[in-house]
Amino acid sequence: MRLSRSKKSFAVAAALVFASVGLGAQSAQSAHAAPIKINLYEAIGYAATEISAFNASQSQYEVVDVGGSTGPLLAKVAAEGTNPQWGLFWADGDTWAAEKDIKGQLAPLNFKPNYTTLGKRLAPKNNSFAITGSTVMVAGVYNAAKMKNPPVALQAMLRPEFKGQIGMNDPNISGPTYPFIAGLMNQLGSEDAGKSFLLQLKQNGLQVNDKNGPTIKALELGQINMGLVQNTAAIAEVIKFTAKPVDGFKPMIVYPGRPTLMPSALAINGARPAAEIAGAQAFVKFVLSPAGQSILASTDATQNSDVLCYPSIKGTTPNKYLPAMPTAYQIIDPYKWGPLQGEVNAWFTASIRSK
Amino acid sequence: MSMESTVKAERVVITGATKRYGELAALDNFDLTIEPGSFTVLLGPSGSGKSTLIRSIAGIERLDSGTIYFGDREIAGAGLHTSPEKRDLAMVFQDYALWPHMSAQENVAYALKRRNLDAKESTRRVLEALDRVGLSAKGANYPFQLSGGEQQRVALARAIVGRPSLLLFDEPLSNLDADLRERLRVEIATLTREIGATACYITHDQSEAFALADNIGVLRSGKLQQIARPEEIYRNPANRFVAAFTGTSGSFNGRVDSVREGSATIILGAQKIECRTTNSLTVGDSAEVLIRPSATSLGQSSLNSLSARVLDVAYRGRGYEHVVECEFGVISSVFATQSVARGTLVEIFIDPENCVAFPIES
Amino acid sequence: MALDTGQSAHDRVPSSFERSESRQFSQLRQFRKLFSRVRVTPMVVFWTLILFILVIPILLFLTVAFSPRLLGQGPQWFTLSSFTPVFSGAYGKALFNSLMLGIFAGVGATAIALSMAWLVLRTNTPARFLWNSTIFALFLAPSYLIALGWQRLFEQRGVLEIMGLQVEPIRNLLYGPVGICLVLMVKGTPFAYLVIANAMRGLGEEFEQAVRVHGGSRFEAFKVMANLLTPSLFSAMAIVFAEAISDFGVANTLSNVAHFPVATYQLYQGINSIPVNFPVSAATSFALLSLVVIAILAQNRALRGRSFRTLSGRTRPATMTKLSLFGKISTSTYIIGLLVIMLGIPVFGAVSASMLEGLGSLLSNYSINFSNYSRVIHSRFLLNPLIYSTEMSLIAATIAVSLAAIASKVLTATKPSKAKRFVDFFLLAAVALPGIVFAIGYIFTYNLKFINEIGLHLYGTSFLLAIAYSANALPSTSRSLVGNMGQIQESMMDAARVHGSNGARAWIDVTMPLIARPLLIAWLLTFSGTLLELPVSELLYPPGSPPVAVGIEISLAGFDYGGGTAIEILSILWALFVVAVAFFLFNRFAPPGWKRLGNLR
Repeated sequence: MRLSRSKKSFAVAAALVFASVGLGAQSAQSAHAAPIKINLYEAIGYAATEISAFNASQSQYEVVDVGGSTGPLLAKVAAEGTNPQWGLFWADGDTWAAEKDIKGQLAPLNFKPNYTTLGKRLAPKNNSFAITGSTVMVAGVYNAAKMKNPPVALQAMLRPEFKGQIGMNDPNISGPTYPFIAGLMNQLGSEDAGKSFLLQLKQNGLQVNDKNGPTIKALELGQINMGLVQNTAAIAEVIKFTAKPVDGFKPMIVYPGRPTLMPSALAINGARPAAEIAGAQAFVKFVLSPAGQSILASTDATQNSDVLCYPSIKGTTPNKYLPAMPTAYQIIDPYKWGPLQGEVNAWFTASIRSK
Repeated sequence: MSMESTVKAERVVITGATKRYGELAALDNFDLTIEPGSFTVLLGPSGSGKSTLIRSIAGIERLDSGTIYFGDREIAGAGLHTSPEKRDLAMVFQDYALWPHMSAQENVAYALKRRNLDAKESTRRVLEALDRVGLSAKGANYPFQLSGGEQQRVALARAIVGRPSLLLFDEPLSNLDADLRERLRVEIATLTREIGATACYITHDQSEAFALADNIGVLRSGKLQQIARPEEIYRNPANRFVAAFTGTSGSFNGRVDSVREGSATIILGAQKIECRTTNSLTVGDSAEVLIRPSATSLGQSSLNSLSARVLDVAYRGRGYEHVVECEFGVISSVFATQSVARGTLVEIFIDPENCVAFPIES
Repeated sequence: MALDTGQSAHDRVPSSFERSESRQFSQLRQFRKLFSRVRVTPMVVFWTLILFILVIPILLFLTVAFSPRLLGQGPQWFTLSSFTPVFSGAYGKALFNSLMLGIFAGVGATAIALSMAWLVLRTNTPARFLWNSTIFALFLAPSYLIALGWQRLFEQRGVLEIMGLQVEPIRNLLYGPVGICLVLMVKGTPFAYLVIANAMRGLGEEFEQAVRVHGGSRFEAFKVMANLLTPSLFSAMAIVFAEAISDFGVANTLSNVAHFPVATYQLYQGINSIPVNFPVSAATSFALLSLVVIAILAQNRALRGRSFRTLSGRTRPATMTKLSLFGKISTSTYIIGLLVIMLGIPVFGAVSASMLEGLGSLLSNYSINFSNYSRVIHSRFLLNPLIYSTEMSLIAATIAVSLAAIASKVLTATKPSKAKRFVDFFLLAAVALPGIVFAIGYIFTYNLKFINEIGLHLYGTSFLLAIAYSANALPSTSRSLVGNMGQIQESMMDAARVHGSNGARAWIDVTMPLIARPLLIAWLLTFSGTLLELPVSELLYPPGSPPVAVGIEISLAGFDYGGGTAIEILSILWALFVVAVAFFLFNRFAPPGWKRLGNLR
């Protein structure tokens, strides 16, 4: 009598444990089942299309899509620590890739991508990760109905006629914004020069919003007349209002100063089993192949603005909505500017975002 | 219609029961034997341990040490604690403990589940039980639709429907009004005897205890003071506490004049009073005389009488109860068929057979 | 038991097989003895679960604050350097701001909820039916939608300004601590209402009647009733407090002009920096937990030793106060006004975002249409993720409510015990820490190499996601049941046990029916909350099976605002549909006794 009740509870507990092991084992990767699965952590809108195409083109490997936003995905990778589950990581920006490379976490590409000249300039020297395209930080999207002569030179933004009309994103929340700030510092000559410029901009009524979306909304509502956002967001806005014009709001794009070219990086985790790494290499090769690159042009940019990137591979046709590249762009060294991000972001919060 | 007795009554033996709450000992090395089929009442003030004891018998509380046997089965002891549902008893609670989401009939039927009867037999017994407590018309009512007395009667029906061999009562009448109390007391007394179960009943009300019990156990601070038939407790209380708790209309302090077998003479001021004694008294000691209500009557001046003045008169239907004040203290419950006006000087006769002297506890 | 072979078992020489068998038996016996000493009861199973799904993930995350190396997050085995930025002067102000936000939001939400509960349950105000049918929609409005809606109304060239109203002074008030507090109060009120209403239903009217009979005014009777509801009032306040201090989105949306730092900002900074700085985030979590300790201490002081057990068979359902015509009009206005503010504004914000092709103002000549909705119906971000999220939410709600029922029982035990304090603290701590912290703690715990080595491969499985959802919902769910659990008189269970039911049976037969309705509501709350939950979803979903919230996030990140919000609206409508079906089934099929408590009147 006495034991039967405790036996029952113990049986329940044991059943729970076994069930969890069983369930877990089923979902975990089995080395013997084909095809070999590789997890791709991505924050790229058209990655899912690439994945479907790659999986359909061969049967040895299966890339599994783990989509999300860059920030949380990087946090997930960091939390996985020394027992990583990610096989590939694909997101805008390359500072995160550089940081992983410095730590020796990446498996370099086992082939040489057919980069354009620009692609060669953006790619890491040691071929430790791939560049799949680049976007521009920042594009100045402005309301032509209200702003007749938008500022093009950096110093022009400080003029009194633009007081309170310019907005930008917060680098603490919007990942791509830090390269813009680093770019400012780079073209102005030093970190301090960049900080001083931003402070002057703040004096001139700079508005700060979280990220691309809120800044563009502020533009639409007339709270600002020019938003400094990622070019994909700016182009998406222009496309939207070209299709359905609206009185009093006519978005157009200029590129203030020397905009920074921000590459999108696709990196392979060197800590996964060799078979997986081989599959990852095959996927990267596919993305950079003509078949993979054709997805940029064939995808509807109005719903998937990430395809509005400047291609890095020779022979790729860019998306039809993509305007010409700004003439005076710059490329910054992620290995130099990446490590400064923490300090610069904190400074931004204390000095720019707050009153 | 009375219920047939198909019950094999149990003897309950409790040995060395102890239960502590922090520093406080609710039960202190408590021994008790309840004979099968008897109606034992545990009487005591709050904090005396009676609640703890009955809950320990039920299995709702665990003893720290000691054993409980039902018949020759050990129910609780060192390392053993049989859970309540396996003790095959029933209990009536002070707050009725009817389940609000079940009707009266469902409440009663719940207690039959463990008997594994078929539906027809179960319903028959439930209706029989409800009928026995006079509530067959209210089976479909929910507890909130019943009065307090009706709820307790449903609880009683629930307790007896399964013919348990042991019935426990946790101050079931405390929450009822006076007239209901008496009626329900009679129900409890007759029903329990009809089905022949052993009953253990706790209360702080002395008259209830005396009316119901075959045996009364008086408790104080977790210890059993005396266990005996009601008459014995009344006539020969073991100590001052028992005497005081089981009905006193007054007490006087005096000095022992002489002692005989079972009786003593106590000096009160200029008088001497004859009384019984159950304790050893020494001549010259200070002693306290406790006077039972039945000991007093209005009378002539005589041996064993005291002069007093009437303080209050209360009509009781059968007659009048007076509260009088004498030189040594106040005596209440002095009965007379005719009333005596307040302020009158009277003589109070004290029956030596119904007052008891105890040494004064230092 | 003697062997009936005529020969004692000890006489024969045992074979090797028998030797090994007897060894096994003695091992088994020893094992059994060990277990019988441990007494594996349902409570032991419960505590083990709580340990693994709640305590360990939180503790592991906190450990990173002073031992980064332990989880591969830094070079030091022990350091206090992460705490320096957190407890510096500037940051102390942020901590103080969070504390104030929490207190005001908690007290405000509870006060509003108490007034609503009294109006809806104890009076015959006509608007009470409206309130009851919309309360669930309030839960489904995420806080950023509320903030968004406020913005749409009060911003420059927002709706009100276009209508010609001078809203600048209000705007300046809103874009700052007052606004943040208001939004958090609005967010917290529905929850506080549920907790308090549940408890009020189990409160018979005899206590108030006693006051009136002895000459007390109606207001004094109300005070007595509020007094008896103290445990649920504190439960509500504590949860709203914890949710407020863990909030990030609202504070950030509304304070981009004001100088009002909050404690969680640093936590998110740590997580969003490259490389990720978990130690600082963990140190910040310690700071947040210190605020929780304050809340719990305050709660314990207020509840010390009192018994609030009022629910039994003797509880009569309270009669309603009949209001005069003026009373009816004024109370209805109050209720409708609150609903407009609490529900109308976020709905306005969301709808305007999802339907408009152009700018955010309804009153301009911009087109409104349903093109976004027709497009997303076929989106890969809607159908499969919604099905998956629904499955997960069903499972999580069931697990969470089962555990919460037990936890609330522990929390309402009248004897103060270490167990009670432990559960209390950890549950509230889990609320005070933002969901992303919780999720990271899970990755730390279940991705540990040695966990995999002992055969547990849980990270990246739907099983773990379901568990994480349950654990995430457990704290608020338990607290929503505390009010009811604490009311049930103990003799209910005693009577069931004495009359033949074991512990579990008695619980199912007697306790559960008394809390059936609160359990149903708790289940639906967890279901709807989990359906659109983001942080845990984002970090723990099995590769290839994104929950619907992740789909929404990806759409919004791709600048498809119309599509993203359309998916969100459709998911909310789906959740409301499930809620309506559940209530219908309950009212139709539950035994009458179950529904008697807390019947809508």
